Amino acid sequence: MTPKVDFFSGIGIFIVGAIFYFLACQLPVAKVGLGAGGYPKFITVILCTLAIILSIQSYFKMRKNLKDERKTTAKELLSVGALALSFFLYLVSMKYIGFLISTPIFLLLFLYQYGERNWIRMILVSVITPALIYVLFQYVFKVILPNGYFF
Amino acid sequence: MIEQILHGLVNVFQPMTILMIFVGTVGGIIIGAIPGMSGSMGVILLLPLIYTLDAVPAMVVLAAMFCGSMYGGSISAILLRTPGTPSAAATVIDGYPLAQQGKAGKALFIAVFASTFGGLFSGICLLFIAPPLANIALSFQAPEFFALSLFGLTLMASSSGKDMIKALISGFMGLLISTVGIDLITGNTRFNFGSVKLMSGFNLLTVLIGIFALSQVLVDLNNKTKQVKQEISSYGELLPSRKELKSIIGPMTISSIIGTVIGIIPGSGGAIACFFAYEVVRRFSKNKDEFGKGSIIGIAAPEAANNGTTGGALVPLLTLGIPGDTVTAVMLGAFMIIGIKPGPQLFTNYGAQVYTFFGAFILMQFVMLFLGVVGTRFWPKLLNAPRSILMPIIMIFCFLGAFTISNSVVDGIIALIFGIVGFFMQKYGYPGAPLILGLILGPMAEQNLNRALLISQGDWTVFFTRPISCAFIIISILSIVLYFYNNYKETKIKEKAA
Repeated sequence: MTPKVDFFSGIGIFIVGAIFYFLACQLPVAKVGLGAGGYPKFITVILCTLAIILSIQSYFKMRKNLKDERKTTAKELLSVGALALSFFLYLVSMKYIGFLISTPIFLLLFLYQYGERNWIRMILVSVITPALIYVLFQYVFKVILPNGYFF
Repeated sequence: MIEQILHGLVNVFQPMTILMIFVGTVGGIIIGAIPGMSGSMGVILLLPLIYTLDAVPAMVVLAAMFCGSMYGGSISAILLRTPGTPSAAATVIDGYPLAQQGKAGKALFIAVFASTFGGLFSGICLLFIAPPLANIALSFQAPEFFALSLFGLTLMASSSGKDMIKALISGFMGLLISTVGIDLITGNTRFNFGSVKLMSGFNLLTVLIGIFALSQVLVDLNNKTKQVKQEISSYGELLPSRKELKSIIGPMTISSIIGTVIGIIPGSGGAIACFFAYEVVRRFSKNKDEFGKGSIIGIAAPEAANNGTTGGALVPLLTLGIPGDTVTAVMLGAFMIIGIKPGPQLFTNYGAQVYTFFGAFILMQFVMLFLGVVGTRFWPKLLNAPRSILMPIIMIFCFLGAFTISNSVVDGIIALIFGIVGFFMQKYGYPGAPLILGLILGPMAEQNLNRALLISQGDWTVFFTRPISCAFIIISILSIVLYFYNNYKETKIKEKAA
């Protein structure tokens, strides 16, 4: 049970819903049918209503002094953030250095982040996996993977 | 007709036809198991091959690829929580938890068994009642499509969640996400924030990869749970017991019917069928609590349904020349290349070939079963690899899955964003399945609602004056009432027990 998180996520979802409702109101209105904005408006109204219900429910649970179960620690969030950031950098770098260079480098990093410490295994996996994927996708499936500026 | 059917069935056993069944099925299973590689891509890859083949082996290899890819998607869904194709999205819900209990082999066996069952069911429908079934496809217009999607959306509330409010929030988030991009009815661009990429909206597979696969990779980073060893000493271990078999036969039959009917309707397909079947079977199950925790019924239902759509999708394609989805559209083009023109005259002009093809369609289900069962001994070994190696490789495949959709790295970034969203959803009890269901059904509901209102000049009674549409709306209302009634009953029982 996570009443405090649910209370604030309810408020967050309400804000998202309200922003999208406002944006949907800017869309042209149709003479017949729902128009471009009618359907999103309907969805956001229900979404906001659900968010309010969630927040109210959680508020009463908070008043009963029900504490949040700890789902994540700051350390966990930091490691997840670091992995997500590494993956993002991997995706961005691919455009410049290509799949064949970026994948071994970042795969090595991902393996390290996952706790692998056997360096021989890490190097073998980082080199062989991208090479096999490249051959399979490029030559069998005819999917052109990003080549970057070097190839 | 019977004579033609028998003649066709005898002709199936030509060496080239059998070889093509194997080539197509093996290729389909591999393509389906790789995230991002769809059945339509597999069919496209076969195009150079079909130029060199006669009509029947060419048709057969295409259909085998289609059927194989439908089952193949479940392999990565069960083992890696990464649906190979959108049609395997519902298989993740129970397949992955069962694999995590050390029963990946069993999960895969149930998946291939149910896939064969669904494929056979739809194949038999295709063989005997294809023309009347095609009329169902023709009777579906905007109001019917809207009513069908409405029924699907009513299933959202009960989708894999203990908390109805959170399940509904997840579902409506999916519906909201589905509105991003150009509105196909009015031509207005919505919520793209100036991005050209978002003008075409979010791709379903990109979101699936993010919500199911990447989120799991992120969760797993700090989850130091003990790795369960997958050990299968004999095929006998994988076979369901008599009790288990009895429990899945009924749900598989219902799911096959759902899959075949949804397959016939153009614009639907495996992704919709698998969720429909899963939710319908779940709703009427006596053991609802087991769903989401590795229930074999939860694996059998979506798998029977998605393979049920294969035969169903071929009905309008062959009898009317109408392709219902991308795969059948590519297949239509391929049929024309080999000189076969699908349509009402198909049975008159190419009777012998068509019935041989139908026979081969049934035979390929058994080939798929054979290959699938052989694979159940080997695929689970993948999970015995250390997670510190498996998870980073899954990350690379997540990128590849998203990238191959439109050869764009941006899709990988979108998948990552949904991965982070999925991570927090998983942590705080928001189920992912309703979001996917909303994303699948949202465009279908909106476009057909708008289309129906435009045709009827804004008259809402159009949904009640057409029998199929009216029936679906009544079923939707009954479904909601039944859901709340069951909830009320369960609460009362719990109160009494307390």
